[in-house]
Amino acid sequence: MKKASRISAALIAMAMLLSSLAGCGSKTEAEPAESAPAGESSAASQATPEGEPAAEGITETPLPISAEKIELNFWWPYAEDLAELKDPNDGEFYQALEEKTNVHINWIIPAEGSETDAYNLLFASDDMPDIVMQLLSRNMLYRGGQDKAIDDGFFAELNDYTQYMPNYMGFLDKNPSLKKDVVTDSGKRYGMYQLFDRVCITESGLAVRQDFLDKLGLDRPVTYDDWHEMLAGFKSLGCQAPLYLQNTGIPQFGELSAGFGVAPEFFQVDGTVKYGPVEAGYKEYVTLMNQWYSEGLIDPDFMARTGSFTSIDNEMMFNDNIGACVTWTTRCDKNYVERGAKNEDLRLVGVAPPVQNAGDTTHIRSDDFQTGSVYSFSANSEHLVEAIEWMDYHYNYDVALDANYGLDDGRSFNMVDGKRILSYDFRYSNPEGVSPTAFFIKYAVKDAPLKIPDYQTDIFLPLQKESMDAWCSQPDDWMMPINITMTAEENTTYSSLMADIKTFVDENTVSFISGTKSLDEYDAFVEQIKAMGIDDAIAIQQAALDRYNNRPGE
Amino acid sequence: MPTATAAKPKTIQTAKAADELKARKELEKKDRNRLIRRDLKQNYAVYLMLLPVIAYFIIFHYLPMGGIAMAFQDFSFRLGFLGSPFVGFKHFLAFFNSIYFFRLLKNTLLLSMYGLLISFPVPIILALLLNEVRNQRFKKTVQTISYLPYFISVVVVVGILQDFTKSQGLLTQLSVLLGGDGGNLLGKPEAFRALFIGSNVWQHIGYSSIIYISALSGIDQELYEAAKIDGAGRWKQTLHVTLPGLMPTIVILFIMRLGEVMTLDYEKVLLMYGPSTYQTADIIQTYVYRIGLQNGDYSYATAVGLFNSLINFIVIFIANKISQKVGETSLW
Repeated sequence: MKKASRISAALIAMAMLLSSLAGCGSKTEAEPAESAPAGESSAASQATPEGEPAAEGITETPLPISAEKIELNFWWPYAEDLAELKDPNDGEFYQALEEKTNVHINWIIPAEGSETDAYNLLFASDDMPDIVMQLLSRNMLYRGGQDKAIDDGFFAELNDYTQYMPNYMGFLDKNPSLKKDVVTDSGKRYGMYQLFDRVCITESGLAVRQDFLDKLGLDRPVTYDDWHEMLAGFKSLGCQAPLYLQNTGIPQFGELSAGFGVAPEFFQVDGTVKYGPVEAGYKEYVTLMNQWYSEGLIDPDFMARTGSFTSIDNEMMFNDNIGACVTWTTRCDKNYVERGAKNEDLRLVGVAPPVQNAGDTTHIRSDDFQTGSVYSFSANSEHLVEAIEWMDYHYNYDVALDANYGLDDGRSFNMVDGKRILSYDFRYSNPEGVSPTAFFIKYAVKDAPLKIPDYQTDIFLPLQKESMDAWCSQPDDWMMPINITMTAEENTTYSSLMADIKTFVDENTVSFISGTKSLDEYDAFVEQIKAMGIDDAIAIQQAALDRYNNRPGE
Repeated sequence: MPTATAAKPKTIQTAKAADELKARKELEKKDRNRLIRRDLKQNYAVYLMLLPVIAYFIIFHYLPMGGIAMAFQDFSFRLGFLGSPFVGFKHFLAFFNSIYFFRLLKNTLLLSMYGLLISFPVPIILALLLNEVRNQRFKKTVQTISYLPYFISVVVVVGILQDFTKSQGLLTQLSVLLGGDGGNLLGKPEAFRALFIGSNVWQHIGYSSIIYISALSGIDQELYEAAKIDGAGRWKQTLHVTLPGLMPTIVILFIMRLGEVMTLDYEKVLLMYGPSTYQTADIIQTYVYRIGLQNGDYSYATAVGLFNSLINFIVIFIANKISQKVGETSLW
């Protein structure tokens, strides 16, 4: 057995060796790659606040972007969706794009499951890819924060390059509320953000078995009491896990705790940051879950369930052993049943978070993101301008339509009332044998930079649509904005505080729910979290939120 | 005065002797050098084969030791080794002050001590038992079956374990017969060590016993005959012939195992643990993983990892000293 710690030590050490070498070289290259446009650009950035359209130089991307064929490296963390394809160059969209732009992309795809680790190691190598796609939801953020990633010379500050992104800036001008989200606390442009042409796109939430409800003659549950009655009913039907939970015992986006006014971690009420576990509502939540667990209404094996917040044991679902769970819309349709359910009546339908009294409003749920991933550009890229122009071309509305729904040859979508409606048959029973997960990579763009999900929802099956409507029926105004950032110093303090606090909260929450720890000890639990310095962590989050709220946006 | 006159020839004598000694040493040195040169010439192929091994140890085991410097710095990738600010023992102090310090230390030590106590002797017992089996076919079958699990990936082993420990699982149902409450076993902190070590024993018993079985076959058969003539039965033969013959192997392997006391199979722990079992399952290495790779706090993680290695070193050093005192076998 080789000692893994040594191997990781070796990796880190090698990484450091490389970075120390990189450190020597980068000083000389720290200035912006192109010095000529600097003068023009300051004029451009002055012009923007005055309300003029951002792009005064170029209004359209000049095609081809480069007269000579150039190659760009694109770091792309979506190995899980590739299925049988090698990389997005196997897809029609990028083949066509290469022809149009004369830019060849070398896709750098980190191994599935270790994307975030691979991302952290990018900063240790001296070979930063030209474009790096960062999934903020998966914690892909430079440790010192976005400003520091620019100051440390890893990513280019795009403020001087806005004239090369007419499409992107144009979209932002039309949606001024987004402007705060796409800059850092000090107003720097850290990259180009994935943007959504739509408001509510919540695609995950609580779902219950409609067929079970029908059998029991119950309505969809609204209050915690309804839930109790429903889960007890599910249990009487022989369901092993009436409510399926993850090993943390509390769903990530407060799907079950929102009714008590708390999120599992940080949230904010009118600009004041709070930490769920020290709030009164968390105790009520834990108490209720403990009661449900002791009555056998919660999966008896929940403490050993691992995976992401929407992972469930599909076999259990197909065998009618799960009654309610947190899920994506993808499980709320017939297609899911066709994947192997024994019971053809199986129907999952989304419901809003339970509340204490009918008519209560909840404020916590999976956010309405209007911005998603960030595409940052290596400060040392040889083709920085071309990379920006190439990326910006994705935000051209016509190109974005192709990216979202496939090329304009009408195979992957049908035109209905002037809208492109994704062809369901084509996706799920593909004549070319492309699997549904790889569908977007083959015919369009996986997670397109400018998402136009509007048309997409039109083709949702009735149950999917109902589910999304239920999930979006309550506001999300207590969620922390995803684009807040901490300084390097804050981050060091925060992560060393939270490493222990999170361990402590996780294990105690589970212990309280499963009853291995008595609820009498709850006050001591809260005291201990405070003793571990939660107030300092809250203060850091508060400072980051305040800076976000004061950003020079609109 | 007589002492002085007597002393003089003695010093001359000793000086002479020293000169002679020096000359002989030089001669020996020359001899040795010649021998080495001749050896190198004759067996150059063997030395060539040694090269990759040496390179491996230098590249993967000695060079990375430079990374230890990170533990005393607030390491930043941009500033690198030389530029990162030196902070002394800050990260060590932070770890010692963490409320989890003693729990992590206790969990790591207990898990490996129990592992040592149980999984170390088990292969020896299996080897001794197999040694007594006279039916060759039966012996080979048992050996093959017992070492098959060794080739199963740890991910699969944990997968099997997860199925067996569900509330409806085989192991859980067995535990009910012994008075358990029937809850998920993998979610119980008190069951974690038993499951971890038990599955380890199951997986490694056959493979680890191979070295003992081969050592057993090296014991002189005449010793057994002599013991038989002296009237020793099977049990006495095992006690007085087999075990002493096996002792050097056992001691060396034991010391080597001690050196790994703090380096548990942490991938397996990562796969098996969860918030509900942190209490007994969270060990120093999983903590390092969470802090270092998931939080990106490299300096802190390195400091904790270095502390881990330090304990490891102390344990192996003491074990070696004891073994030197007690028996004749030792690592160095």
